[in-house]
Amino acid sequence: MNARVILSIIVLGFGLTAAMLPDRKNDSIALNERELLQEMLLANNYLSVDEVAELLIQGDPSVQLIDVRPASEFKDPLPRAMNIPIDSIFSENYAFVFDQSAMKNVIYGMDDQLATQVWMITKQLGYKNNYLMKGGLNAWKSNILDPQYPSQTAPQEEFDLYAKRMASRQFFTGAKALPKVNIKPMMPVQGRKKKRVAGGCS
Amino acid sequence: MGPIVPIFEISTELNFLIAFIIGIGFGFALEQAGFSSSRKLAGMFYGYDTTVLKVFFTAAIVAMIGLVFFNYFELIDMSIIYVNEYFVNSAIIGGVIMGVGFIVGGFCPGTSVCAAAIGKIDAMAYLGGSLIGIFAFGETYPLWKDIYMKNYLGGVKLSTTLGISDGLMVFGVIAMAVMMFWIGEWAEKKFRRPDITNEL
Repeated sequence: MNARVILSIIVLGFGLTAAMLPDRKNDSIALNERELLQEMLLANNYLSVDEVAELLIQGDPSVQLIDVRPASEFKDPLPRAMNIPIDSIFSENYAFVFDQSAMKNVIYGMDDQLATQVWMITKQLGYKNNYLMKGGLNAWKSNILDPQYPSQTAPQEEFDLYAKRMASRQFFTGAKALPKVNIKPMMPVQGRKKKRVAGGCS
Repeated sequence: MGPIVPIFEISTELNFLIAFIIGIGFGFALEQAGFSSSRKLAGMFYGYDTTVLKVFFTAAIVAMIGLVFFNYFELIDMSIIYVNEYFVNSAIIGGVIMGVGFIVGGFCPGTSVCAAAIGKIDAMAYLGGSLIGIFAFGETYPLWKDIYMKNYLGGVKLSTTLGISDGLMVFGVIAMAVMMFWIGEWAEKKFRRPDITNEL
């Protein structure tokens, strides 16, 4: 048989095989379970409320806060936050917010639940610069807006953190920076009242 | 598994270097196939030499078979492969200009660079003409912009438009290529001209 005929048969055979191969979609961007788990355990995907407060106070223009609560529950957001409910993250208006390389997106919700879902979706799509604010607004309220005075035996770092949080609180709410200290005498001395002089010659 | 060279991870400079090396390989292959001879190229139009058809169809089917099988064995991610965007008007007008230029000048843009590199004067003139054309187009771009951008269809694939699988499309193109090889062979015999190999 002549070489041309053999070659023709070989390439036609390749073509036939190709035609019979089932379609397969490989996605090199989406992470598999192990990689996703690794990402979730990686601390640099998260920002604590203290870090977010610091970024906001510094006025970093590259920070973009994204509130993923449903529109009906969108009340008292963080300053400059935009509301993108989880059901509209793929709408044309918002898709570009997540898929970009210039801004640092901080995703938060009331707690971690919704925000984690949104963050995982952005990770699976291969979008970069998306961070999760750990604890959501609940953590924000308890740590920044209403920090608790550390116990007397706490280490110095906790007192420093407390002072910083009180300063943040002043920045965000306008409340007084220093805590109102109620000085209550430990043991009030009873009976200081001047006693009438009894007896004598009056 | 993804592409061998991840697109997001390498710098533009390194990207250009890779393109440069691939470009040298491409030019070498063109020259080896005899594409630096305008008579060989023009032979395609008159039917006495169908090397152009054979080389390009071979390149196309090798790439197609490679992609389909790599995709099947999970060695490549087809979803992030760049598909050239389709501007209908530009494709038609550009095709006509390219075709006329090809038959008049005896080169296509790539092969003219190839032939100029081995010192052919007609290719250098052709290349100069191309550069003048590019410059003129660039300077008068606002005039053409509307026609140039009209009927934009995006990165469409023929298989998607026809609604068939990529594999079936590959088979169709291969069947067509094999048919064209045989027709080419037949045409070369029918429109045979004196051997020019020694003059090239």
